[in-house]
Amino acid sequence: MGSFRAMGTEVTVLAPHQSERDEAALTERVAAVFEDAERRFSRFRLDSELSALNRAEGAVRVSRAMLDTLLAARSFVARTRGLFDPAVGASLIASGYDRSFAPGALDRDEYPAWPARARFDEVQIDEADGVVLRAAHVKLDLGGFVKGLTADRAARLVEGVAAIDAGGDAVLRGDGPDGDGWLVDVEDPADATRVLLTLRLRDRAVATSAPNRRRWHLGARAMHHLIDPRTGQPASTDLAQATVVASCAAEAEALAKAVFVLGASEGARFLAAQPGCGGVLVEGSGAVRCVGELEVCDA
Amino acid sequence: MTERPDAPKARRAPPRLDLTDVEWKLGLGAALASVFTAAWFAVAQPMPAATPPAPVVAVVAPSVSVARAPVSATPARVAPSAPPPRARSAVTTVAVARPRRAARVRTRSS
Repeated sequence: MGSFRAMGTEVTVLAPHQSERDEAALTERVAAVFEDAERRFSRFRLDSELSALNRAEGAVRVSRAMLDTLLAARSFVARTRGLFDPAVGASLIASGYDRSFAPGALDRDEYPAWPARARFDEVQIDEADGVVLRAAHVKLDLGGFVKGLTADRAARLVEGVAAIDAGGDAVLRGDGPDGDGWLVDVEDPADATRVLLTLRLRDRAVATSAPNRRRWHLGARAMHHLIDPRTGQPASTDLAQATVVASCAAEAEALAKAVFVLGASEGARFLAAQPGCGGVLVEGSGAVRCVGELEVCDA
Repeated sequence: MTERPDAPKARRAPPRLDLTDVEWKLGLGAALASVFTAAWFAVAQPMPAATPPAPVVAVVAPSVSVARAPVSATPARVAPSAPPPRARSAVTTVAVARPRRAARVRTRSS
């Protein structure tokens, strides 16, 4: 198993049928993919292409990688009817998430003036020319979505059985180490040391949205990083955690965000209607519901 | 015989200091003093010359910033390495192959 840090998280590469040397070489290649993505898409790096795009006045010609990412994001914005929306950057900054998260680093004494609500629809993308025109008040945050997308891209480097786990956004290729599938432990959001249940997955991807690991305070108000695009405020739902299983990590990531924002009942209905997808929804009460055809095994 | 009044009196010998004891004492004292003086110069440390107080130099440790290590072609994580060389001491270090961790994925929020 190889691992490295990127995008503010631990990324793990598992290639159980490869030699340690080959697994290490694979880890290096995967790390290079993540480094490239972070250099381009991190909103915490002033010199990233995303930061430049967020500062630009007027139309900007973007790289192929940026264009592809924005187009992929747009497809999920449409699919989730705006429940997943990368145009929440200004809200995140106003909420205090203006730097890479660390416990206590985002706490502030005062509650700021909140920005106007922004939508990804206010970003014009000229696919033919690779030009992007962003409304001035729209700031893009591609964080989690890019993490999933990058895990998908890195997984294409692998032949055979492998898993790439980028801080919970995981791509699970093949039938697992022993041909019985990959075991995926669903963490208890109330207690990170506990496992609620274990899924057995084959050639799937998984992503989780939960506010438990990124919380801070603005004055007396508790904040978290999962913005409801409909309000521009941190989502207020009855869900403590939404884990989604999908065909790729980008899809799982976008749908997990949408499900979390919708809440337990609507989120379950929405997820059940997504072809080839399933998930595990954990309510704030502790109740757990599984959606879709998932194989749950003993932990 | 009657003492003649104008006859000079017999001169008495001036009082004679009995230096025998004094000489001995003085000689002993001188000897002791010389020994003591010699010992003093042999043992005593020279007084340091008066120097001005050293200027206070603030030693500023380099700030330990947790900079992200650039993920280059050789990212910072453990690659398979050769076992360590045998120690020369009586205790021999034997490299033990670490078992690979179980291949299991855990969900967590992103």
